[in-house]
Amino acid sequence: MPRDVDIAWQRFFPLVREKCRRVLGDGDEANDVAQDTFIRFWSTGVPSTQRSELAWLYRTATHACVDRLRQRAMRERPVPGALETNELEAGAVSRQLLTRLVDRASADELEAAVLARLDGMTHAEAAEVLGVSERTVRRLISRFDTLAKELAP
Amino acid sequence: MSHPSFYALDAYALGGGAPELRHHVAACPQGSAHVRAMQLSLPMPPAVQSLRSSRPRTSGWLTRWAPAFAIALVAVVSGWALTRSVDALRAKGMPAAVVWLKREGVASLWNGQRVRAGDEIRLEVAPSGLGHLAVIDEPTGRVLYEAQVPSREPTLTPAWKLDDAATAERLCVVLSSAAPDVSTLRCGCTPSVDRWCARFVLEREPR
Repeated sequence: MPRDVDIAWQRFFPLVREKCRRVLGDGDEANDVAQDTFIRFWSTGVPSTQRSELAWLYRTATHACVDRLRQRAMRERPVPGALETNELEAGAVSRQLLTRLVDRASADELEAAVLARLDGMTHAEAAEVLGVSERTVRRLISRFDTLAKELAP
Repeated sequence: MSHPSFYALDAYALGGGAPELRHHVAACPQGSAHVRAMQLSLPMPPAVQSLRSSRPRTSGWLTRWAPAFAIALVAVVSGWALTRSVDALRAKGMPAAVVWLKREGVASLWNGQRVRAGDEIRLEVAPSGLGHLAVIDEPTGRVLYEAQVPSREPTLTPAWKLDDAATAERLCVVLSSAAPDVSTLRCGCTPSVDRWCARFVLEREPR
């Protein structure tokens, strides 16, 4: 008798884990969050309002990763001060930058930044995953960028 | 086309994605490496193994997975041990097509790797409501396969064995609501309102 969860695991877990690694790094924490996301996905299903399982997984994993970043920031208390200029000039949001901003940016702003900068999504893709308009995505990312610039020397 | 997002690449790895994305992945080492990594088999921890005794809450799951088992059974009988179906891979509601590659008796989902003489390929298609399927050899315009297919179930085409040609295989899969004119088919991968297309470029290994 084929086992459905095996098929779902093979199909979805690799991409969920890689998505979590982009935010949390390659450690056990990313694996834990990815596993929790998959279990929730299997156990609760995908709401009918979501366009696809992929969008649901991206949104749920992003939300869980941002929560972990907040927890990590509380534990590790990052050293205050300006970021290296090249991090901002490269246009890429490093995990360090995200950690530095978890206390200042809202969860929505952090999630939009993760999708747009770490996952390389267009505003349209991010809007699809978050279930908001493209205009809202632009606004969230703009706010995040403003906070990031405040860390520049 | 600018470099696609990981979201777009993951949609492609699941069997969806625009035709341009397939071409990009075939030509981009980073993109194809990412897609291959998404198709690796990872060990399942005990906490997930314990879910085998449960069913997902969403009622549509079993309907979507059931065709996968039927496809696997047919494939084993015909000598192709396919482990999953395009219906299990596609994004919800969208047509999709995947290429299966059989080499030295082992069948696997084609992930962009180069092909060689003697390889066998076949297409698995999820029509999502479009009941006419055609497969076209793009360079020549020759229609390799054409049939009315169940519009709500995955379909497997016959297998083709590759010869020792030096050029890449360029296949166009066309799904339409009705049989199109032959001249339209020979125009290749041109989508329209009632026509879905996907192009596969299978590069050859160097001689």
